[in-house]
Amino acid sequence: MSENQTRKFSTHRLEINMSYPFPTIVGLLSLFIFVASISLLNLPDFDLDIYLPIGWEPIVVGEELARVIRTLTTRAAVASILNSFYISLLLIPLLIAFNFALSFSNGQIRTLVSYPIEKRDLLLVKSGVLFILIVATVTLGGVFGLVFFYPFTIDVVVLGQFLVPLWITIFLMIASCMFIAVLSRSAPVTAVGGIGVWFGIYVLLPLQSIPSFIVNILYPIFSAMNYVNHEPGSPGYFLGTTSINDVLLGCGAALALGALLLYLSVLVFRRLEV
Amino acid sequence: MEREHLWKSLFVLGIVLVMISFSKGTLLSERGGILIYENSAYRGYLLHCSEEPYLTLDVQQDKLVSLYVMTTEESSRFIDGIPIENVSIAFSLVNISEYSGLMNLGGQGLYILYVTTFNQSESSIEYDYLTYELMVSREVPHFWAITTGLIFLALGSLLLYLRILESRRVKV
Repeated sequence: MSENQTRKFSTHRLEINMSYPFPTIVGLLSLFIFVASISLLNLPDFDLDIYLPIGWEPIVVGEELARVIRTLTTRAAVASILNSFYISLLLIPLLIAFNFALSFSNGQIRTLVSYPIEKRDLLLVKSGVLFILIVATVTLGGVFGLVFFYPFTIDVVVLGQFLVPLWITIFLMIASCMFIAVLSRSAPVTAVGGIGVWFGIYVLLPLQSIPSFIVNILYPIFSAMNYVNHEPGSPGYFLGTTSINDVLLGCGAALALGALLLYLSVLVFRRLEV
Repeated sequence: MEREHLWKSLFVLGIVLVMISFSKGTLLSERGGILIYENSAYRGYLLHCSEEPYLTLDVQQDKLVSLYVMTTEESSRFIDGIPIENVSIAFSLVNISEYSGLMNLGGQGLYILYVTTFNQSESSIEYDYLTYELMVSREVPHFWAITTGLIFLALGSLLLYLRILESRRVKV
């Protein structure tokens, strides 16, 4: 391992040990396993029936059976992740507030930049570790839940169709909260601002006046879930029918927006006197 | 991860999984009943069952129903026109008005639970309307969750034991 790689690895280790001491990571994983399992145990059971009248048409009933099986499996895949995602809406701003924004006031940032670590690397490592932590725990929690309660029924392609948008949504949330943290340098403003912005957007999204492409960009996870599982009660149902192109464009735009916000955060952070 | 943290992490995960394994879950809850218009018509419900889910059935208006549970593969054969007596039934109840108990299905997987007024007895019962309440719950403790939880707890205990042995050796 080169000296540069060793230093990067040490920076990651330092960030994990400082910001996420034991039992934070295992606690988060346990929380998401619990939430995913409880969501799967209370999976809605409506519209999972077929009717066979006298002289039924095998093709018609067979298609209905295939639809019902598809409904159950997509519903289980969505349920395994959705509630964990809602919790991460709250967790991400709080973790950034207490692990990054707070360090401006308690002098931790000053200590860190006194090490041979560039400000850019510091911000990227903090964002990267949080991204990996949230993505890994939410995904593993959902997968654990599915393995326990719906083994061998989940289509990996279906799961991937909304896991990737979920990861991109989490990336965008982290980038935006980092931007708020760098601008405000205040833990309360980052926490309240981050939660307020993302829950505010979530509340405002179903309004008819907001174009659907805004929803696709800010919450690609919802458009992906709507594409995979379009039924009443799903979070993106108000969007109407969503095509795969909407999901892909939304993911691409969200990724670009997240990268832009992170870049701006680095620019602002570099100019800050700490 | 240090060994100190590893056994604690395994304990935390194990306890969470054991807790989850005792959580009750409803697979199907049809309250208020459904309509079956014709004799020998079927209403099928998709279930993802554990090995022995708990079934509660209560037919109203003192009428009788028959209930058949089969895998989705067998269900496809039945839909294609194979008579129900020629398909492999995982669990059945014939001409009953109420039932509560375990359904021994023999394995976990996707099943279709069919309810019908059709009966295989000599006497023919003709209904044009029938309501019932049907509930299928998961068995507790859930096998896979408790097994994984206990494995985690056992591994955590083993690591803790090794740690105690190690600390004793250091003292000596």
